[in-house]
Amino acid sequence: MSDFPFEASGEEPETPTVDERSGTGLPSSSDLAARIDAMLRILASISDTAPEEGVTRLAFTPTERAAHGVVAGWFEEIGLTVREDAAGNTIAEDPGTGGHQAIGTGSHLDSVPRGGRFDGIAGVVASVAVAQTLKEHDISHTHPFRFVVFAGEEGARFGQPCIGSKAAAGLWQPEHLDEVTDAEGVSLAEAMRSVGLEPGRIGEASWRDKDWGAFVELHVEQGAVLETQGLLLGVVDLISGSTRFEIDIAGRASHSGSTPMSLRADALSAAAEIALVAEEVANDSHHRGTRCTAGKLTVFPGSITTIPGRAVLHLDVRDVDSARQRQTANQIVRRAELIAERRGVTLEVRLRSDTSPVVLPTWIRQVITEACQEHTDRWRVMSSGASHDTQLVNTVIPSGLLFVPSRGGLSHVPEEWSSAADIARGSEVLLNTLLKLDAHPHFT
Amino acid sequence: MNTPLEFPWRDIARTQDLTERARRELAKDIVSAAALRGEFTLASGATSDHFFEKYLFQTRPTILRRLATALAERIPASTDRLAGAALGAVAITAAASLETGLPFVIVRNPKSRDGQDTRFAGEIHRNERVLVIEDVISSGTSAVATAHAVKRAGAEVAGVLAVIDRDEGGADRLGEAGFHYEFLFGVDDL
Repeated sequence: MSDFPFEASGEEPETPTVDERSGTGLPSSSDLAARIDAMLRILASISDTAPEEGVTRLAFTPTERAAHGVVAGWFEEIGLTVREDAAGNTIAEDPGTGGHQAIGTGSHLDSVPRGGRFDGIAGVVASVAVAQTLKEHDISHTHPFRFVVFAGEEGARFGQPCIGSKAAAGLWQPEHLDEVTDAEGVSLAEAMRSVGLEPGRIGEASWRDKDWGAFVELHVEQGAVLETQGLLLGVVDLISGSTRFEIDIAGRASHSGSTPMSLRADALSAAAEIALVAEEVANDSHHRGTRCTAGKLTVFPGSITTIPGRAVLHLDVRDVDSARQRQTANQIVRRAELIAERRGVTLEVRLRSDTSPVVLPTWIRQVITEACQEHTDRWRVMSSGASHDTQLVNTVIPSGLLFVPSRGGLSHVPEEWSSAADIARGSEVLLNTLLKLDAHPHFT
Repeated sequence: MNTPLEFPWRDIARTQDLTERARRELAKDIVSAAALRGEFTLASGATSDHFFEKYLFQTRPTILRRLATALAERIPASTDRLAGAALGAVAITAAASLETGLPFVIVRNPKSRDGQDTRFAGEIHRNERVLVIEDVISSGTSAVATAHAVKRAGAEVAGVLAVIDRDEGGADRLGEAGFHYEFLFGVDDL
């Protein structure tokens, strides 16, 4: 097992024992946090980049499949039946005593390039811990419990997030799998085939609401709200939507020395002003819950002695308020038009994606908050700025989302960190939630 | 200005158009927010495994904002004032007021006997054209009482406009009382 740069948080967890036959066997330990820590270490080592560079485990690569294989092995060791669906999602089932609609939990194992060890992984590891606890304590439940590892949640490789959960939601047209490509021009369909999946059969991965009753995901917060308030758990009520677009600015490239300031049409200066407007809008009093980010700027010709003739600014507008999200995007574009006119540049605006925010069902959230309260007072309801598999699953099955704190609010970077103790607590609340859902009047 | 702009998204971004997708999303968000599941004892004493807690949809700006836009489209241009009965219709009426620029009045205790204890919070004047806004209409008795209170104040009832109609007789009752009635979402929509 690779030597891992975990930072000491004070108490060292007791050394977990692992299966001697393979370094990736299911960790056993009487301490739940130690088991979780061991599982996190094993999964973190399955990466295309070295530990100090972060985890790289992109969608539909052999590395992602290897991680799925390890987790599938853990569920099998616990005694569950495990299968891979047509979209590459791994689903493990613990049958119930008589219910039909399954209660599910899970997350994803793929990462962004050079990302963290917890984004998605925490939820998967928590679900393994839940499955272990159910077996070890012989806890009976009526409904089948299903533990899901979704494929391709991160949009990093193909520009499409939540590929596996979108399949569960029945939202893929097989033809689109050929159209979605990565930076090397490999289509999603080709990538799926390369790891043994048949893209034409993706429709078989759809979840039917008669087979599933509810789904709850545990995830790291990826923000700093919980940490700042000293809280241990977050229960999500709203998931943000996003409108993403590019503003392609055409100015006039010219000599940086000989061109007087008053005779310029500088595309980069225009882009900079637009980026600041986007930030200003998100910061004003009308926009509590709106987040605007100019995440990428490409400048042409990109020479220190040439006034930029072209700049492409990539903007991401996120909001928990559906109408306001689109109004904000339009507002930024209108102000960009005014900036362009004043500066003598022209704009082309291209919409890249537009998804609506989602209100998660209150009744599921109430079950989760009840479960939280049985463990601690230190929880709150909050919105999620990031999209998650839960958002897609919720289109077919009532779903919920539970957060554990992220240190420094960092995510998508190697410094991303959540404590095994917090994840362990989260998994206990998750188990409690699943059992409450199992007994819920809605299902009886 | 010679800007070649491409805005395919303008159709998505125009919140004035309740396109099918936008309507479905709004309906789904209303249900997600307010349709509770559990064990509930109703006012009648009967138990139910579901309960629609209307304040849960009215207190979320993501829903309230879209509802205000949808309501605003149905408010006649000749309307002078909106009226909403406390407590349920206050938030939605205030939202519609902000959206349209029309003043509103809160009707307190509309169902009081002979209107003795009915009070208006805000102003209402004789001969104004007042549109009654309702959040949820079931039997319609509350909406009819509110509309009558408006009439007793000497104003003209331009109509009754509700967010949700539960198909429990409200339309008939309002029709019999002579009030024009429209709603955004019926039972089939939610």
